[in-house]
Amino acid sequence: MSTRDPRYEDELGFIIRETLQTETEFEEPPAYTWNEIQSRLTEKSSTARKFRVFWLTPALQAALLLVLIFLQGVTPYSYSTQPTPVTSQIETTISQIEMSTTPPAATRQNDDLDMQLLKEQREVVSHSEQPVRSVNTQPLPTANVYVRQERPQQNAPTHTESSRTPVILKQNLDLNR
Amino acid sequence: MPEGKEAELVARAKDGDMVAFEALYEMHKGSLFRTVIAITSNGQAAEEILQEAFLRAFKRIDEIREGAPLAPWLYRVAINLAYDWTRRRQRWHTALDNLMNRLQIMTPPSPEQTIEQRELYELVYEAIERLDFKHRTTLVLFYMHAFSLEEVAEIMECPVGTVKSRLHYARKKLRRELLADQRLPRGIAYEYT
Repeated sequence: MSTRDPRYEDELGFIIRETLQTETEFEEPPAYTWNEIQSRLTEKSSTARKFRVFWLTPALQAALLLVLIFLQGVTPYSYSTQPTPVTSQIETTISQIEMSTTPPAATRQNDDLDMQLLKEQREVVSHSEQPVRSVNTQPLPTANVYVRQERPQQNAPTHTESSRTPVILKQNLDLNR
Repeated sequence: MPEGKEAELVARAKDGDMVAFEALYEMHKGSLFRTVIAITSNGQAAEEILQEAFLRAFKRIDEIREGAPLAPWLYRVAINLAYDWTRRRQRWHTALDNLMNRLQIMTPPSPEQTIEQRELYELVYEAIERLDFKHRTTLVLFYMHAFSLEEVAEIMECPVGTVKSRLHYARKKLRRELLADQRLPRGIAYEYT
């Protein structure tokens, strides 16, 4: 030790020294041996290492999860907004099928005849039906009534008999004349 | 402590002698612990810093020069650790923690001490605690362990002039704090400052 500088050895220095020594004189370090300290520190460092690994794994897991969420979010978006050649081809095929299944005019007339037959059959069936046994006084809902409308025949002449009559009468008038 | 004996123990520890290292630990642990507790005002922190400082000493014992005293090197490690601890603590420091630490540090008064002296020590200790880390550490090393200015400079890794400057400002600030403290009797305040 070198000699002390007298500038710092005054009353204030004395009280600082006394205070520091008095306030810490009863403080004793824990009674660990060096081997105990070594084992404690080794345990502490291994715990810290485990914590680092534990901390790293969820971080990686979270990163992977974020990547998955990102990919899941992007894929349907791209399909829905940008039609691929496959989807346009499917749409073309569906429209072609719709066009081919549209009935022509002759088929529609046959359908009308079928409906007429079906109605006649229903009328026959309704006449032969027994009355429904029910306590309900409300009238039962009636079946749909198909109103038959006279349609001109397919091969009927475009002119009527009445249109000819004036011509005959005219001829007769001429004969009488 | 006999320097020759310490140098011999350091040399043996460098050769891997665990008994020699344990002897060095027993030789320095008390004073180092009290120094750290005076700087940090926290018993638990002082315990951890003490253990960490000796673990570093154990790992880096080869760096100690032949015949050089172990204490400055050991104190430098401990003070660096205490500095790190103080910086971390500043972020979480609360008034309640301060009070609890103060209660832990307080020791029962001995019958020989008068109440006045006891109060004076407590007030001075509180004022030292309020100094910033560098000024507080300089005071502790210089007054508590009677390290020379050169040794303090070596421990704190700064020039001797910086140590003198820190001592000057630490004492000035301490004097101002004690004079401003209304709890200190006027007579005692002027007597010591």
